[in-house]
Order: sequence, then structure tokens, then C-alpha cells
Amino acid sequence: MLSVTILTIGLAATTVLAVKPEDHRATREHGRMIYERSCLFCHGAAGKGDGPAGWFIGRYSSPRPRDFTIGEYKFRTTASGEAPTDQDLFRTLTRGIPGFMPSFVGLSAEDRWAVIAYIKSFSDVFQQEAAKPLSIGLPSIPSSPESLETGGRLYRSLECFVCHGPSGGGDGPLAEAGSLRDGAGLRIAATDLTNRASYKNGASPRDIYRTLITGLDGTPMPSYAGQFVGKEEQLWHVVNYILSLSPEVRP
Amino acid sequence: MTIVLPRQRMALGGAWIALVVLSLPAWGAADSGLTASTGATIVGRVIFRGAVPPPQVVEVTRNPETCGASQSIQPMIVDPASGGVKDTVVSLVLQDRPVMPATDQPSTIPTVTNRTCAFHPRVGMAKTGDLLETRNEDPVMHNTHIFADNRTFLNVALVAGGKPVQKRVRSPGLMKLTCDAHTFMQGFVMVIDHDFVAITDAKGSFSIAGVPPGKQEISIWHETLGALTKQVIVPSQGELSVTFQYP
Repeated sequence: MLSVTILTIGLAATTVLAVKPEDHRATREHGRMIYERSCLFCHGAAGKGDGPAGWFIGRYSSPRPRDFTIGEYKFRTTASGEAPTDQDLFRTLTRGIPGFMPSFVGLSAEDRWAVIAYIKSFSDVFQQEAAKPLSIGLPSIPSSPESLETGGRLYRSLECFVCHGPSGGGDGPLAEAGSLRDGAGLRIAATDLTNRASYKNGASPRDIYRTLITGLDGTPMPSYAGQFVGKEEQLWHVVNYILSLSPEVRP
Repeated sequence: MTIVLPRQRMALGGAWIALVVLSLPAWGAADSGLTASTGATIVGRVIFRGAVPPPQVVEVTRNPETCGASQSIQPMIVDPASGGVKDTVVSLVLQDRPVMPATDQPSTIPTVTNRTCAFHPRVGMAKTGDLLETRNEDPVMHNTHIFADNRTFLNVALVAGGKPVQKRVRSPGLMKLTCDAHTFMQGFVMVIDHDFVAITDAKGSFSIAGVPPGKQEISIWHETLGALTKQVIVPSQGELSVTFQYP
């Protein structure tokens, strides 16, 4: 019984990797077929984020579908300005982006890996040496009144409120002034931290920690990793505070 | 088990690349004689004849106690007596040259400082392999956002009293610096993948030493005046004087 359990856990842990095909021409060709069926409508035939969906998304509305030829990605485990890991792309494809991109969990893991191999072929940033994921400072610190107080103080001193607002409503002075722009120069909104469902990079404590240290490339959200060297644990207070801005269960 | 194989192959490939990389500098130096101790020196000036437009005055909407009520932005710093243009990047355009691997070069640390809500220097230069440092001396947070080739190179929060941030530059080209918290801030860093580069001083003068003899192309770039190029024949010794004139 025990051995069966261990075997099952082992299998579950390796399944995602086990089906990852090697990145060769046949894989990319398989990926292209899936891409043209599932991704082209938004991201375009050449991966420039200019698919026919743009016609009714609105020419100047943002965020736009990703332009894969630039090789700039928001949701990463890697440092600011670095290419994402394959796992990062797999996570985004599997989870989707709340409010913007659907989850593609309906595709088999093998198909998802194939489409990732194809998407990577649009940009030469993936030809360079792969960046290593940043580490999450563990163990995490559970929320407590003291932690929330420290987190609130950091929220103000790190000037999170400038974009996200004093109460997290995404209504900070820079957001209100309309001066937040994405990489294409289009106006974008600051995330409403009082609505967890809208956190594009995920709303688990680790997701929020990761967003704080990596930043979201192509948006004004910067990486805070350099400001917490040697005191990474303090970031958990910020995470706790951010989570306290939204109710756990929305009515 | 098969999934481990590609990694092993990569590791082996990495070793081969490392071997080639180690042998490259010696080969490059012997082949083209590109060392700074020999060769001629190019000295020159960049001048502008014409009326200098008035500075752009932008209203400061954030942190006026640090940034001032308004900021006067003048990218064209022209010496009134000689017409010399400051902050023009002058570099050789090298052809047929083995590209030096970025990680194999001695590293310096070009620094861009956020001070009174402006980048100092406004126009800087770096070489591939350098660690580019950005720091903040203001009592407010800056959000240094550096773009290279339309893509984020680095986007970091620099809180008041916080640590500087460094990142190694890998590819040549023009990098543009902005601050998402203070949108009027702008700066540039030109990244060059060799040593033959200089930036003009307040008199518009520059000097590049150790230039290999023969036909060479010099390229200059200024933030608002744009780029110019010139073909020159470099002597094997001594000085070559070159003058660029905008527009």
C-alpha cells in the first residue's frame, strides 16, 4: 500500500515533465498546428499580438495580446528583463490570465508543451542562456496583527499606494492621473488589490511574493528584489498586508 | 529517463563553448591587432551651428518638494563659444571582427544616479559585459525602467535610502531610461561591444586611442540631433583629427 502511494506521488510529480517533448522541429510543427487553432485569433499568425480578435478588443485598449516577437513576458519566476522559464509559460498557459486569457488546461500537457516550443521560436531571447528562477524566501510568515502593521508600513514606504491606492483600490495618484503606460505606450490600469480574482499573476501568497520580486515586465510594476536583499522575509509582511486588503470570500 | 539526456548534451555543449570562448580573446587580439596600446588616436569635435531651441519646461505633478515645481529639460548642451555639443556618443563601427563574448571581459560599473528627479548622467555609455548600476539619492522612490530594443531590460523600484541595483549588459545598442513614477525623467545608455568609444565633453571634444590603422567608419549619436557617420583612413601612428557638424 505504502509503495503504491509512493509510486502514485512519484508519478504525479513527474507527469508534467514526463510529457514535455524535446524542442525539435517536429514538436514546433505540432505546436504550430495547435497555435493556429487556439492562439492565432488573439496573438496573430506571426505571433505579433495582432490577431483578428484585436478588431473588437479595441485598437487602443490594453493590455494587448502578447507580442511574442518582442520576447517580453509579465509572468515569470526570473529577474526583471529576463526571459521566462518554460515552466513559467506552462503555468500561464494552464492557468490563463483572469479577465484576459482563458485557461488552456483543456489541452493535453503534451500539446501545451508543444505550443510553448512554437511560441518560443518567435523570439531570439530564448536562444540566449536561460535565466534561473529567483528563489522565494521560505518559510513564509503567517499573517498576524503585527505582520499586517509592518506590511502596511512597507506598503506606504515602498510607495505601492502611488499606483494601487491607499486602500488598494487601484486608484493611486499615478493611476488617477492616467500616466501608467505599458510597453506599447498604451494606458493601463493598476491592479485593484481589493479584488483578488483580478490578480493576473495569481493570488496565492507565493504568487504575490513572486510578483513583488520579479515585477511585471512591460508594465510599470517594478521588481522589489534589490531592495530586500538580506531581509527577504519582510516581503511576506507586504504579502500579508496585500491579502488583507481583499475579503477572503467575496459575497 | 530520456528527459535527462538533453540536459547532459547541453552540459557537454556548454563545456565546448567555454573552450572556444577561452581561446577567442587571444585569437582576436593576434588576428586584428585590436589592443589599446598600439595604433593611432582619433581626436575630434562635434559641433552644432544654429539656434539652440529653448529647454522644454515640464510641470512636476509628483514630489515637488524633491523634484521642484517644474523641470527644465535641455538635451542640447552646446558650448556658445565653439559650438561644441556635449553628450554625443562617438564610436567606431567595426566590421569583420570576432565578437567578444560578454562574460569574458573585464568589468567596469557605469552608474546612473537618480538625483533631483533626473538621471545623472543623462547620456551614458557602457560596454557589453559591464555591470550597469542604477542608484537613487533622492528622498523619494524612483522606478527606473530601462528599455533595450523596445523590450524591458530592467524595471526596478529604488526606494529612498535603498540599495543600488546592478545588471550585466549583454547586447550592444541604445538603452532608454525612464521612471514610471516621474514620467518626465529620461536618460540614455549606449552599449557598445568594443573599446573604441567616447562621449563628448562640454566643449564637444572626444578622443579614442589605439585605433587600428586603415579604413574605419566612425558613428556619432546625439539624443535629439541624431546619428552621423564618417569614413576615415587611420594612420598607423599619431593622431587623426575629425570634425563632425550637425545638422
